[in-house]
Amino acid sequence: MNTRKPPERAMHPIDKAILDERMSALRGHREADEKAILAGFNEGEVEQWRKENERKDAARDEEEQRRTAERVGRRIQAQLAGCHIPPKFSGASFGHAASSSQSKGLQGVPAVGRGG
Amino acid sequence: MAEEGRYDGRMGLILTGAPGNGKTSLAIASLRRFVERTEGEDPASFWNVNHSLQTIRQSFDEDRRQEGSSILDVCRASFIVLDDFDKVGRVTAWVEEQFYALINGLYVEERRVIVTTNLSARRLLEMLDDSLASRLMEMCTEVAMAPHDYRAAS
Repeated sequence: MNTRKPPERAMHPIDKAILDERMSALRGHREADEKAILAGFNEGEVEQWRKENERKDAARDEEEQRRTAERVGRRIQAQLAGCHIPPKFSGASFGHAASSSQSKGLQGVPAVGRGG
Repeated sequence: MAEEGRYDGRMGLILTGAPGNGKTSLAIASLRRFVERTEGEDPASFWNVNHSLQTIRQSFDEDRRQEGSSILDVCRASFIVLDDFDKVGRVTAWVEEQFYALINGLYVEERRVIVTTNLSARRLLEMLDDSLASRLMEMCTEVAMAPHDYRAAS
């Protein structure tokens, strides 16, 4: 006969795992899964929580990457603005080497914007 | 070179060639690539030498304290384009003094420099004091651009 005291729902191990997951997401999930199963939840529920956590992780990572890219982009733009590049040459870059006919005069050098 | 990561602190370029053949564009494209690769962390600077010296001269007239700071500012940048290096106008003692502060500052700080000029490197170095020519030669390699005038072609 199982005499173990049922777990309190308010202190659900999954909740604890969610708090911990930022520190160690993968390990945290695995432990949470194990704790949840030990606590008497069925595998279907645990699987659902796991998937939900993974989805949240992915969304958070994506958002973080987007914010980082924005931050870097702003920093690059600010740095370039501080260079005082004349407007005439503001488009000069190595970005269109393959399609630009301007590379013809610059042997071995990627094409850049017009002017000299 | 910047793309391949070979553009180290002791290496610069003197882009030489006729007007309109893309020296400034190539230099600015390199500067832009440097800023992108360093994710905007390292300061970079574009200097049209004639224009910048005029600006310094004007600020000098307005406030003596401003003069030295502009030269020091450009020396703080990790990557510097010095455009139309030979177009300094009349070479006065003041211009020579500025050039010395500029080139020596870039030299001792081991900055990455791209110089553009319509003159050959040899002619350009002849313009300079021996000590500055020596520093510039140590910092830079000449790249002679192919003779094609994109301005005329456009």
